[in-house]
Amino acid sequence: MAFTVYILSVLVLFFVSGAFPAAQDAQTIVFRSPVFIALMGALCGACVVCVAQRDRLWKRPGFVLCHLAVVLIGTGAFAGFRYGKKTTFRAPVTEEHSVSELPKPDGTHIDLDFGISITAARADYYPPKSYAMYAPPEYDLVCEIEIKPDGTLDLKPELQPEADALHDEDGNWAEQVVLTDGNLLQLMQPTVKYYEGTLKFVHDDAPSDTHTIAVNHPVSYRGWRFYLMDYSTEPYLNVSLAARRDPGRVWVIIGIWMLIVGTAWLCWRPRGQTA
Amino acid sequence: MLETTGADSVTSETLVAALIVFAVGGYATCFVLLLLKEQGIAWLAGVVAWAANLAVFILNWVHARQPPFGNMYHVQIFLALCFLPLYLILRRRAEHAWLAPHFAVASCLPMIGVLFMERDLLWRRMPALQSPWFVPHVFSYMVSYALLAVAFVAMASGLLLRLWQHDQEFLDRCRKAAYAVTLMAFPLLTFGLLSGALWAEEAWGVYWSWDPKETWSLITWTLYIIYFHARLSPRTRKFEVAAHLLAFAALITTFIFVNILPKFGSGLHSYS
Repeated sequence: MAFTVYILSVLVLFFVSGAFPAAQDAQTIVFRSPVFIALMGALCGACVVCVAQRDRLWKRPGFVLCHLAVVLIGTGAFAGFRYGKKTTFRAPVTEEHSVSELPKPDGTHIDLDFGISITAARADYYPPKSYAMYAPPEYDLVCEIEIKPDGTLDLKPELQPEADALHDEDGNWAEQVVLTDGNLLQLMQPTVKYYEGTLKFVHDDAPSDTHTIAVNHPVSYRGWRFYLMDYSTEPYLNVSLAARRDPGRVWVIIGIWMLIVGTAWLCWRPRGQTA
Repeated sequence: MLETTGADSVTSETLVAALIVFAVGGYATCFVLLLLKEQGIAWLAGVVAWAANLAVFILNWVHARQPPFGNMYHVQIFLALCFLPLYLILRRRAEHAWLAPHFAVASCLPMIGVLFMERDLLWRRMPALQSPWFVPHVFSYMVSYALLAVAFVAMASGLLLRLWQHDQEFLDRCRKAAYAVTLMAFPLLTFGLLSGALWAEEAWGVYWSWDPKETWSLITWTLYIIYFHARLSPRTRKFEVAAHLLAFAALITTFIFVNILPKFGSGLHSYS
């Protein structure tokens, strides 16, 4: 028990040194160092020894779940770190452009045994909620003017623009409005609510597959997982995707759920029962 | 955020500010009256303050048109709201009913913080936050923080009386109460931490980015693990109180300092 307390204390010191704001790239230096990885290995070993030393384990499901969960998470994370592949890339939204080599930040490529094209992408925005007000002659920023739920601006009545002046021909909010006192209103950039894209997987030996990808809704395909990271219309319609192949992913997920259940069992079981 | 000039915004913000001041006053009155053993009127003040707190939470929900967990202002309002129901749950175990003043003062502190905070009523959820994990992740963290704040107040008050009046019996009682409350909180803290990892995997393809907010939340969790383990061995039991106090200091760093100190620069958690 004392050994676990000491090893956890040393780990906390590592965490603090990695989180300390004074150090540039502290995370990379500390959390990928061999010493840190060895410490995590020692923690996993201590968990195994701790379980092995106890008898009547079937009476201690919470204890067993928590300790083995740490081992599973550690092992899965190490497998992902050592043998996993991950990269982020930007691709145009067009059926004609297919990606089969994923660029990595170090200039090398990851070869896929299939091609990917992004055939469609769209974004939803929240309704604009305000205009920025700029005052002549320098047009310095003065304040933000809220668009009220009734479609008028939160201004004094004498400055309130006509409804027509606030909308363009398509009924959208006007980008710019000049008030009667000379101040200029510029529509604030609306907040993105949601974006999604359509991924098409192309290969020589089978018909192509089409999947919808969105933020928080990754797509799994032939051992790879693809994540929608960003959406842009500049300079042309394109999306940013992350691609990951992680042999330890399943182990980490199982370990996480074991730790959640095990902790609840240990802490919330009726007092008097065995852990 | 830029200053707004509108009359409607001012009305809403004034109402919210008035309710917050009212809640702070009510919780503080409840705390003082509980110390003076005026139970009946203390509870009345506490319940009225909680109703004002609830009204602010509902107004935030109406303005945001979604669960109001989008920024520090939102979550501190919810945090303060957690204490009274949690006390009522804990009170079922009679030996911890004496913790009522600790809960009252713990309710008051986040509301005082809110008084000095920018209140963005029209918060909108960014795409990464449009996830089923969002509400359970924040909810479990806030409930666990509320409980751990009470455990800290109990432990700290026991330690202070031990140092000033050499009252070992009161410290032992506080340690026992702090342990019971921490046991209640820890699975929720664990769920908050690990649901964040599962969510990050779905959103960005990584469980863990060693972002400062994530790292400090792991430090907090590990220090509470050290606390639990330190209690179990006679050789390490002397570290129990220190581990508990340090864990709460790490919790405060995670919750507040990471957000307000620009050098920490929590990129992935810039919205929280």
